[in-house]
Amino acid sequence: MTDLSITGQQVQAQQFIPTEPFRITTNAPHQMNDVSLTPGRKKLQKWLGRVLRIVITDGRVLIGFFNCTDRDANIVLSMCAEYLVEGQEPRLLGNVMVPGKHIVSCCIDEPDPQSSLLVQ
Amino acid sequence: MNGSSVVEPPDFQAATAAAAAAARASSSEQDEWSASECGFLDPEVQRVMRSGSAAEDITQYPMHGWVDVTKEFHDACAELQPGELAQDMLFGLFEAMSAIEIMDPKMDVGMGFDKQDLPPPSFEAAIAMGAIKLDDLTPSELIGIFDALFSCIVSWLEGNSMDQVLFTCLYLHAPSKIKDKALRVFCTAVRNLIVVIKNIIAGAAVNEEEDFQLYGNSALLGAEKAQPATIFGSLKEVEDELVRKSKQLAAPEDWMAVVHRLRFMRHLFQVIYQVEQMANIESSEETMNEIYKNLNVASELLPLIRRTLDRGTQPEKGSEAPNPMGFSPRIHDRSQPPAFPRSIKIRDRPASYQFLEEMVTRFKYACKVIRHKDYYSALNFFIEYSKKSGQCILSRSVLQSLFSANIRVAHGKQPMKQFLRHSVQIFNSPPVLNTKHPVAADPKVQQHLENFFRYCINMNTFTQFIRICGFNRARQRDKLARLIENFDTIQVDAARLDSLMNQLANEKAMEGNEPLSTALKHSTHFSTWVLYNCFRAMFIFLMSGFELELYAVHEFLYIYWYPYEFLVGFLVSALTRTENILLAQEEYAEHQSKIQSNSGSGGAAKNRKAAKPKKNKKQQRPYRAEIVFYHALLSLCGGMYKAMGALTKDGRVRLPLSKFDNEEIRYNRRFLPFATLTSPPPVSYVEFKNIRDHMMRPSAEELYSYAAKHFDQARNVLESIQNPDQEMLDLLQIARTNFVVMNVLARGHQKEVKRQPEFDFSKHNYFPIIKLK
Repeated sequence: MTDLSITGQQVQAQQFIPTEPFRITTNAPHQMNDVSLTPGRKKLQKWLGRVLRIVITDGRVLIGFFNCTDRDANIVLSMCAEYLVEGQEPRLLGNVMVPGKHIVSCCIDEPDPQSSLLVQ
Repeated sequence: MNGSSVVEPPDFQAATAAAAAAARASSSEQDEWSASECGFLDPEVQRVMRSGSAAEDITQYPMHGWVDVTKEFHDACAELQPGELAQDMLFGLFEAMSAIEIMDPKMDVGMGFDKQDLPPPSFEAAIAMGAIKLDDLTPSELIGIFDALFSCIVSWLEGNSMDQVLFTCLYLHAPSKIKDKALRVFCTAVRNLIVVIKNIIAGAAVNEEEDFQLYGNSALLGAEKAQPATIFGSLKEVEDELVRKSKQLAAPEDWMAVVHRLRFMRHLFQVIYQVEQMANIESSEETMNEIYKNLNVASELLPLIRRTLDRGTQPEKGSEAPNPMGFSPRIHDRSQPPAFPRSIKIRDRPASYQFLEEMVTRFKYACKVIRHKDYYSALNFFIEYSKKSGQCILSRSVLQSLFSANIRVAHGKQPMKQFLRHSVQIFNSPPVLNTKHPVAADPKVQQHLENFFRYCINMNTFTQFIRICGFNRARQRDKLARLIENFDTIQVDAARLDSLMNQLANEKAMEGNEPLSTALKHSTHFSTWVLYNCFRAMFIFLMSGFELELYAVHEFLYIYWYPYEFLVGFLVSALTRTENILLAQEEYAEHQSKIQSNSGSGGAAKNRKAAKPKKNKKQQRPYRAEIVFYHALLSLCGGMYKAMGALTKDGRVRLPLSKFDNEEIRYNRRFLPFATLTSPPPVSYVEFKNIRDHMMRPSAEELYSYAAKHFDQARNVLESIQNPDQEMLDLLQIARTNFVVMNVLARGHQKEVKRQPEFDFSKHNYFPIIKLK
């Protein structure tokens, strides 16, 4: 069982080298512990799927699951709720794309490091 | 899954090994982020977690507390390459496509809200605030509200949501609470109009989601019951009161302007209500006359109304409300479903009345359908109507309602089967359908006929063709493709019926029953009729691709080739055959009547007199005009086909890169609906290629001059037509221009410039003017 290849060619247990540049950074299992990710990408990867609160230029607050972003910080949120005034009744929007240029601030719902989401 | 993170694996085994190695390598390492911190490894768990009861309600967040990461976030994003995405593992194309873009004026309905803004006032709130008057409205206020409401109706008919246009008018929310009689009656009429229009459009069922929003806030509509039958009377009453009142005034013009609007509403309402009632009415002719009268009155009122537009209150500059009083433009914005947010532009008043004026004209035109008593002319009428009035959903639905209240009847109460039977008789008069013929009573023959027509009805093919003409132009094509496939089975049945009739004729001849045999003497009547309609559907299907701009320029060649080589020829021969049959029968009938008159009786002389004018009429040949027109189309198609051949040969047509090109696939796709037909048999790509290769053999210059000859022929044919309509004149101009262009090219003009000419379809949907650039 040492020879894995049908062609008879010995396969080297090669070092895992990711292609550079990455076209997509995801939180999919195979990429989770990828050592070659830059710190920023790692941060984004960590935040993906978490709840994000974005304040946009006209003062509205959008809260939804962080789904996708790109270089210009255009952000896609899913199951998004739109608040004209925070605390009042929101309007549920579903999927939204917030252009980066309209973002004033963004906050992440940071979990307590002690309690994992799985436990909840 | 590994593809994105592994350097081009030489083969599958290597990839697996690499992945295994990677897994080993990573598991041995000390993880920088723990699994729980980074999300879940198992997508199923992820899904459950996201849709689970705790996580489903986004409003419950934050679970822990907001931590501002604005700077961190932007810095992190800046590390990404242009075009690179960081995305959730569950994020895909669907999510990307369904996202609403925030701060986009067309999609984001929440835009432009100010925190300090009060919520848009409701009916009750507006009354409490004193923002709307319920009594003693001035004429100018009434005119303003009426005109704005007409604009809302027009905007609704153009496909906007009822909630976002009509129900922004607070008066419509509870008309019964309005004290001013004119306003109350008008608003009640609008609400009833909404119900009736919805019924007509739903009944005609030729709407698509892009045409019309059938659903709206039904709770608002349901609050007060619709009583369409009373509207006409109450409008009349309030009109009379106002007329009396205005007679005592020194300047009655303002009140008369109000009266004109009420009166216009009354007649328009009556028309639409009567159309809706068509299904329950015994005599459609009488109703049609009434509808036509009402339309005439309505169209006479419109100029008066348009002249007094400035007497009403006008919308404020910069405001979204169509009128200063009574409208709350954003009242329903936040109750719309999330995928729905769009900013609505309500039509301005002059444009709205323009629309209504054109709609009244279209209704009048639709009334003419009553003259078309057989399928052939009714179909022609529907095709014409679609070309001229295809853009307005209500006009299209009205025509459908006027023609057939449901799929089983035509023109009021005539069963569709009867209608088709009558239509075949009018079209090419098969002897068996003539009740005077001795075989008409033969139960066996009758049974066969009955079966055939029942089959036609059950297949719905013919009725469906007419209905398809009622859809918007863009949707007709797909529906025609499916219709064409349906024709095949009916063709088979028609052919069987024809051969049965022939067989019967032969049997009778063998029996020595000469008159019966002659009576049955049958050509291919039924199959010709079916085929003719099939050809029409095929032709419209093929040419509609030009109108919808589906074809690339390099495809024009085979699109024009097919009608040139086959389709138009088939149509011409079907019509010619039909004419010849009619003529032969004419002569035979004449011959018979001569024999009869020779045998001598008093009535015979009368008969002959009656027969003479009829003969003259028939000698004009009923299909002559259509055949001539098809000849013109044939030459135009031929001209375009050869012109495209020449241009291709000359290197003036941009061809797809051969790497991405497979002409055979494209050819087969374009003619896909024809592939299932037995008649006409499908033409394979190989056959087409042979024909094209043969055509392309001469030099480009020669080909240009062949094309010019075709265009010249088309021109001659079109010029020979007496009283040409606009379409023929347009085609004539196209033929003339292209003739000149082809001649110029044939003489070697711009020989060295290999630019693709421009194909300008602005004159006609099917044929372009070729323009050299």
